[in-house]
Formats: sequence, C-alpha cells, structure tokens
Amino acid sequence: MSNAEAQGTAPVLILRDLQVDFFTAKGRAHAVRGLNIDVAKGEILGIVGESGSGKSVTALSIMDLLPQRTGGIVSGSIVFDGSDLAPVYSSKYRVSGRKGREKLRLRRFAARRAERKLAGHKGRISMIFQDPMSSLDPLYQVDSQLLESILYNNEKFMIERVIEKNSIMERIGDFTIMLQQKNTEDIMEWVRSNYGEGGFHREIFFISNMSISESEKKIKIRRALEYTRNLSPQERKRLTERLPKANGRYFRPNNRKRLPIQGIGNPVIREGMLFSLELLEFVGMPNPENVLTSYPHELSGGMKQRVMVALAVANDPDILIADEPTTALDVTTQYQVLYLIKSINRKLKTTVIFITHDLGVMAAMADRIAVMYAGRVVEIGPANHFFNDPLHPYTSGLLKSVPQYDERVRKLYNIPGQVPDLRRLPTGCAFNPRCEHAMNICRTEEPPDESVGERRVQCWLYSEGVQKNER
Amino acid sequence: MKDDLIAIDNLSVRYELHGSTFSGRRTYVNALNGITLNVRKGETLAIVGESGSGKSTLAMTVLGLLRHWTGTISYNFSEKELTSAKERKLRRAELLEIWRRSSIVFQDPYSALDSKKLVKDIITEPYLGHRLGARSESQLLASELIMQVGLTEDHLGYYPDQLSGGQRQRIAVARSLINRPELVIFDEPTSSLDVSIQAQILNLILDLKEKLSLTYIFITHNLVVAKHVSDRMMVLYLGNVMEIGETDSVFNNPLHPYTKLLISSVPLPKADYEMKQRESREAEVSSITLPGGCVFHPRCPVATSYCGWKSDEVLQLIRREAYLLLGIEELDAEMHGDLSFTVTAGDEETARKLLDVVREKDRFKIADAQLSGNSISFTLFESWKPSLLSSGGRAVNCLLYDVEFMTAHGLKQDGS
Ligand SMILES: Nc1ncnc2c1ncn2[C@@H]1O[C@H](COP(=O)(O)OP(=O)(O)OP(=O)(O)O)[C@@H](O)[C@H]1O
Ligand SMILES: Nc1ncnc2c1ncn2[C@@H]1O[C@H](COP(=O)(O)OP(=O)(O)O)[C@@H](O)[C@H]1O
Ligand code: SF4
Ligand code: SF4
Ligand SMILES: [Mg+2]
Ligand SMILES: [Mg+2]
Repeated sequence: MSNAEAQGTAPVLILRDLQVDFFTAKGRAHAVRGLNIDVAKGEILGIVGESGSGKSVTALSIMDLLPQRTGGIVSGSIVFDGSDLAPVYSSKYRVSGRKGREKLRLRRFAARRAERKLAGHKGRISMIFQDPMSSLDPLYQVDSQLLESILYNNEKFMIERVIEKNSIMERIGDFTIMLQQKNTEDIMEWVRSNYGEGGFHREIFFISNMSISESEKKIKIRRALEYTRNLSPQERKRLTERLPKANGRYFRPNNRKRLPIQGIGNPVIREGMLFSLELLEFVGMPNPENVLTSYPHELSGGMKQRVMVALAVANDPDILIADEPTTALDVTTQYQVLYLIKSINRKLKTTVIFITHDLGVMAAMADRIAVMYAGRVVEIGPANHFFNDPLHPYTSGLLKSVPQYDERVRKLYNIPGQVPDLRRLPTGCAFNPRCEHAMNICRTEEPPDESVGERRVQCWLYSEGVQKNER
Repeated sequence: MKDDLIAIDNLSVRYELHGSTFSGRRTYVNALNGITLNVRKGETLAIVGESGSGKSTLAMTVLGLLRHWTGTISYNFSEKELTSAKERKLRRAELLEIWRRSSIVFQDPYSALDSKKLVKDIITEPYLGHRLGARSESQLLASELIMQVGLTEDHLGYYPDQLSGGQRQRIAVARSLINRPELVIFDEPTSSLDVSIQAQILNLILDLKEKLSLTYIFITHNLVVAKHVSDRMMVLYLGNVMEIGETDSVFNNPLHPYTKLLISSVPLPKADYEMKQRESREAEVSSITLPGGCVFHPRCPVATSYCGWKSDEVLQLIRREAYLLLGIEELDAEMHGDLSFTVTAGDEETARKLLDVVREKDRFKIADAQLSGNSISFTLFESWKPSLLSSGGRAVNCLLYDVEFMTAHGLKQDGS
C-alpha cells in the first residue's frame, strides 16, 4: 500500500556510489563500498545485515557524524532535498597523498557553495542511536535536554502554539465547539480547518497518538489549552523576543536545579516545558513528571531509549534514522517503541530509515528492505518479497537462520563462514566464500546491479548470459 | 524426587543497597521472592522475563555464587546426593561439589573472557581451579572440547581479542564443559550475536546436550529463542514465578495475563505481521518496595479489585485524575491504614464532581465511598495474594485461575 505511494513520489534522500573508508593500523577498511539507495518520501526503509556490514556507518555518513580523524566519505553523493551533502561533509576529513592539498582546496570550495544551499536544513534529519547514552548529556536533566532541542529547532512552533491556544481560549465559542467534537480526530480536523496545520494542530497530533483512552486524550487537550490561558500584556510582548543563550545553549548544567538562562516566566519557555511533558507522555513514559527532573543515569535502558525517541521527534524531522533502537529493550517495551516509530511514520508522514538485525522487528516495521553485506546493498525491494521470495543467497541464508515461531525445526540453518575482513575482501562477489551457489565468475568479477521486477539484486545468478552451471 | 536434578523451595534473595547504612534504615532489593521450582533431569528449562526480573540472580543462587538467601535448594547430582542446602548454610565442600557438577555461560562474549589469557588457559581454568585433575589431562580435554565446539586446535593458541563474537561464545561453551557438568546454565548466550551466528551457537548447544546428556537452564528475554530451545518454560516477574509449563502449551495457550502480554509483544519474522495499538498501563514498579497482593497488579490489564490495591496507590491515581480532569492541583488526604482513606476537596461541589469521576473509573477499585461535606471516605477491598497453583503440568500465579477465589467472589474466568 504505502509502497505504491512510495514509488509514486520522488525520493527525499538519494545515496549514490557512496564510499566510506576508515584508516586503521592494518590498512584501509572499506566500510561502505559504492552504496546506492533511494529513500522514498514517507516510507520506512529497513536496513538489515550482520554486524560490521556497514549499516551504522551508512547512517552516520548521512548524519555527518563519522569520526573525522580516522575515516570519512571518499566519494559518492548524499542528495537530500535536491542538494548534495557529501562535499560539505567530506571537506572536513583529512586528506592524505601528494595532491591532497589541492584536492582539499577544491573540496572546500565545493563545500562552501553547498553549505549556503543547506542553510535551514538543521534538524531535518534526526537519529536515534544504538546506545542511548551517546546522545544524552549526563550533565543535564531530561527536561532541559528536551527543552534545548525544542527551542533550538521549534521556537517558531512554540510561539504559534501559544498564540493559537490563547485565541481559542479567548473566544468562548471556539473553546466549547472544539471540546464538543466527538473524538480527538475530529478535534484535530476542526483545529486544522480553523487554525491551520500550525503549532496547536501538531500538539493535538501528539496527544491523539498517546496510548491512552479517548477521554484521557480530551483531558490532555484541555490541559494544553488551560496551560496558556490569560497571557498578560507583558508576556504577550515577550512572545516576539528572541530567547537569550549562553555558549549556544539555552540552559546551563547545574547539579542542583536546572534553570533556563531566562526564567520560567517566559511564555515560550513555559510552552516548551509543556511540550517536553507531552513528548514524554507521547513516548509512553511512566511517571513523566518525575522523569523530567531526572538525570539520564537515573533512568532504565528503556526509559533512556524513549527519551531519545522523544528528542528525535521533537524536531519534527523529515527523516528519522533509527539504528537498532530496541536491541537493548524488553519485548513489552520494544513493542511500544516500535509502535511509536511506526505511528510517527504513518501519521506524521516522517520518512524512517530503520536499522536492525532482528528480522521479526523488520517484519513489523519496514515497507522496503535493503540487505547489506560487506558495505554494499546486495538486495533491495518490498518487504513482502524479502520474506516470501528472497533473491540473493545471503538474504535466504539470513531468513533460514532465524528460529521459527510456529514450527519446530531442531536444526537451524547457518550461513557457513563469517563476515569478511573489510581490509582484505575476497575478489569478485564479497559473499563468494560463503555462498552455496558460487560460480567461477563469482570469484573473479563483482556482480552488477540487476533489476528483478521492483527489486534490485547484486548477484550473478540474476545476470542474463551467465552460465548457471559454470562452477 | 528421582527425576529432579534440582528442587528449589520458597527461595528468596535480596540485595542490600550500598550506602544505605548511613541513612539509618537499610534498603533491600527483593530480587527473588519465594520461588518454587523443580529442574528435571535432561530437560531444557527456559527462564524468561523482563530485565530486572531476577533471572540472573536465580542462576547465581543455584550455582552457589550468592550467599544471602532463604529457602531450600536440593541438588540431586548423580555421584553424590546433596540434599537441602538451607538458608546460606552451604559449606565449602558442598559448594565445591556444586561447582564440579554445574557451570554457566554468560551473555557478553566480549567481557566474559579474560583478554590477557590464551584460549587454552581460559578453557582449562575451571578444571585446574577446582583441582579436578592434572594439567596434562586438562590439555587433552581442552583439545577434545575445542573440536567439539567446532573450532580447531590452532585456536587454543589465540587470545580472545583475535576471535569473533561467535568464536568467543564457542570458547565459553567449551570452558563450561570442561568439568563434565550435569547442569549448564546459559545466561542470554546469544543476545549479542547476529542471527546467523546465533543459529550456529544454538545448534551447537542443542547438539552438545544430546551428546553429553546434559540438563540446561536457558535464560533469555528472546521468546522465539526460548521456544526454539526449551522443553519447559518459566515466566518470571519481579522475582515471582508467574507461570510454568511445557513450552509448546504455554505458547499456544498462555494463561497468566503477564505471559499473554509477553507473547503478544514478539514481532514475528513474517511478511504479513501487523502491529496493533494497545493501551499501555505502565506503572513504576520496583523491587525495593514490591507491590502488595499480586506483584503484577499495577500493570495488569484485567486486574480485579482484590489484586492488591492499597490506599496510597489508589490515592495517587485519584490525585492524578483530579488534576487532569478537574484541575485540582492539591488534594488533602488522610490515611487510615492500607484499605481506607479520606480525601478533602476545596468545597462540596468539587468533592461531588470528584466522586463522580472516581465512580466512573473502574481502575480505582473502590469498595465504598462516603461523601460528607467536602470530604470523601474511601474503602478498598481486602486483597488476596495469589499463589502458584498447578493443574495438569501447568502452574499459574493469578487469582483468575484460583477456583476458590473465583467462586468466593462469584467471578467468571474471563476477568469480569
Ligand atoms: N549486586 C546487586 N546489588 C543490588 N541489586 C542487585 C544486584 N544484582 C542485581 N540486583 C537487582 O536485583 C534484581 C534482579 O536482577 P537480575 O540481575 O537477577 O535480573 P535479570 O532478570 O537477570 O535481568 P537482565 O535481563 O537485565 O539480565 C534487579 O532489580 C537488580 O537491580
Ligand atoms: N570509528 C571507526 N574506526 C574504524 N573502523 C570503523 C569505525 N566505525 C566502524 N568501523 C568499521 O566499519 C565497518 C562497518 O561498521 P558498522 O557500520 O558499525 O556495522 P553495522 O552494520 O554493524 O552497523 C566495520 O568493519 C567496523 O569495524
Ligand atoms: S554472485 Fe555468486 S557468490 Fe555472490 S551471491 Fe551470487 S551466486 Fe553467490
Ligand atoms: S492476580 Fe491475575 S488478574 Fe490479578 S493482577 Fe495478578 S495477574 Fe492480574
Ligand atoms: Mg551498528
Ligand atoms: Mg541478567
């Protein structure tokens, strides 16, 4: 269903011939080797593969988070919303070799041009990491981390919300009509037609997607309105002021009590506080009021992961990259986090890139699945094909090695051998030493990208003119 | 019993929290609370449950690695019968016997092996440590075992850092077998491995069991893996057994509400798998102050009024609702014990509204509410503590399956 949609729309993110190298003591490791992926708008693209296949490196390249000293983008492009990010990113990496300096100068030049185009892209791609502590700051309470992110990216939205809600509260008619709507979906629709898809509409979206009963949702909408009631003329004036910052942050770390640079009196900050609470409620956090004033280390793994999801969606990104976001969670918590990410995709139309090696999780999430092996996409296509009719020998190997839920097979299939060393890849198809179908050509030449229906696969078995029995 | 390798009766374990001695009162984490369990000879028993439910604690207690516990653990190892090690009275000789007959494989193949030692020394360490034989014998055993776990003798001369995660886990398995144990406990042996490597390790573990006629306790939070490996399965929640039974029958027909929640949370690797929205009822629970009555009641979707609701819990729910629905920020309350309390609102009108809200919500589990002026007196139902009742090889710890309770309250088993 959403595949069909996905195919109709232009891709939001295009990775072309992306190549990422790391410089290690034992030589260059080609972590990503000529990767091609088109991410369609509004889809959930799943990426699977064994550890070390380059999933995280791909995600980090999109986010410009590669370690700048030891590795970086060597070539290829990352086109987001029409502009190529790769030159901007790679200009920061070290360049070695004789012609290095000249190359660097050219790259910087290209980068400056691209950077100008990119202004305003901040916060449009956000990421949930494998390890929650890597993106939470241990020195700050949860509320100030959320607020920081909300104000940094959404100050405008917060102001809009305050203004819209105030005018609803001031017109008694509007207030009662709104609350008389049958359910939250209707309320959302009413707000959209009367106040547009601005701040308050978005707020109701978050409320309507909390996993609570309909009546509790209405209560929360009411709370949202009453929270900003009766702005004084001074407060109204402060709405248009820019919030002060110190060292680029709105908050200071402080071990006793986290205080914003400017007090809670500012209506925008107050609104941000409310939004932080709502975000935690949205991600199904137990006791959200207490969590707001906790430090990351005081939270359990699942709670940290949810704070991270909250942080990632607070920015209302165009693309959300989730790198194994539930690997460390219990099944019950995992279910909720997955459901949450899925509903963010379905209802907010956020494009999601979802990385996991759990095929059950993949089945629950992905519209399309890309299988990575040794830094390449070896197969990409709709999720149902992946499960029902895998093409690449590596894909079918992966599927056969999962324990089945409904039938008991005593002996699990396992793919022989292991992931190759990226510094010394086998010639030809990187999978050939482990492949049951390997032919002579597989050991000498790399298979090209072939289209099979709506899928693409890199395997000689699907190339016209290759003798299938050529062993 | 003859068929049981281990019989655990009413086992409780608590940890004292560090630093609490200064504050005067000691605080304890109640990791296990009255576990009763038999491990049969030759079976694979899976233990599943959320993080913090006490799975590893149970493993360590069975292995005699934790000293502070109450209850009885009886071991029935083949050569020497060790009966009833009671309440931290395990002596050195008994401990040694346990360590000879049992072993454990841990989750993390990266930190579990000492990276400064050669593989051969890692494998032979328990053998030499427990003085089970001479060094030369241990070397022979190590070469034999390394082949059995699918590696070659060359690997004996490696350091763990030079091996992949799957290979390290094979080494850990080899090491666990060197004392020729009867019982092997696996604590999440494949959680940090890739699916294809996981498949190799699971195959290996099951093969070895058949070859060496071992008994396994297999701890995991991956239910699909539990289903694949085990004959029986035990579900643990906050240190209490919720359900035990044959794995297939537990999966096909889970009885306990918590087991149902767990099983329905597993996404299946199938093309048509769909997720459904569900109302989460998450409550903050901790092993420090365990919920009364049924430990699962704060999260149970079908909890009855008798499942352990106490004044402070219900008051907290009422306060929350009063704030959300009526905008009441502070609500005075006076407790009269666990089952009754009085709430005082600002005026009579508010009190009446509050009472309406409370009556509407079935979650409040109120037996009686009296309005007088601006205050309401609430009375709750006396709670019942469910116990693990077994019938037909299946044991469930839930009031809904307690016939005595159900008939006493005229309830039917669908939770109404
Ligand atoms: N050394 C310790 N000191 C204090 N509390 C502890 C200690 N070890 C465990 N606990 C507590 O005991 C309870 C049970 O812990 P245990 O490690 O047995 O859980 P588990 O079921 O193995 O969880 P996981 O799936 O995360 O491994 C938890 O509440 C835990 O915080
Ligand atoms: N900072 C780094 N320095 C050197 N090599 C790295 C670094 N990060 C990743 N790599 C290497 O890149 C390859 C792909 O890694 P990664 O993308 O993390 O795999 P995964 O698919 O498990 O997410 C691996 O061989 C890994 O060792
Ligand atoms: S190209 Fe050859 S070796 Fe590679 S997966 Fe296909 S058949 Fe196997
Ligand atoms: S006894 Fe049964 S119904 Fe009651 S709370 Fe516990 S699990 Fe739920
Ligand atoms: Mg990774
Ligand atoms: Mg554990």
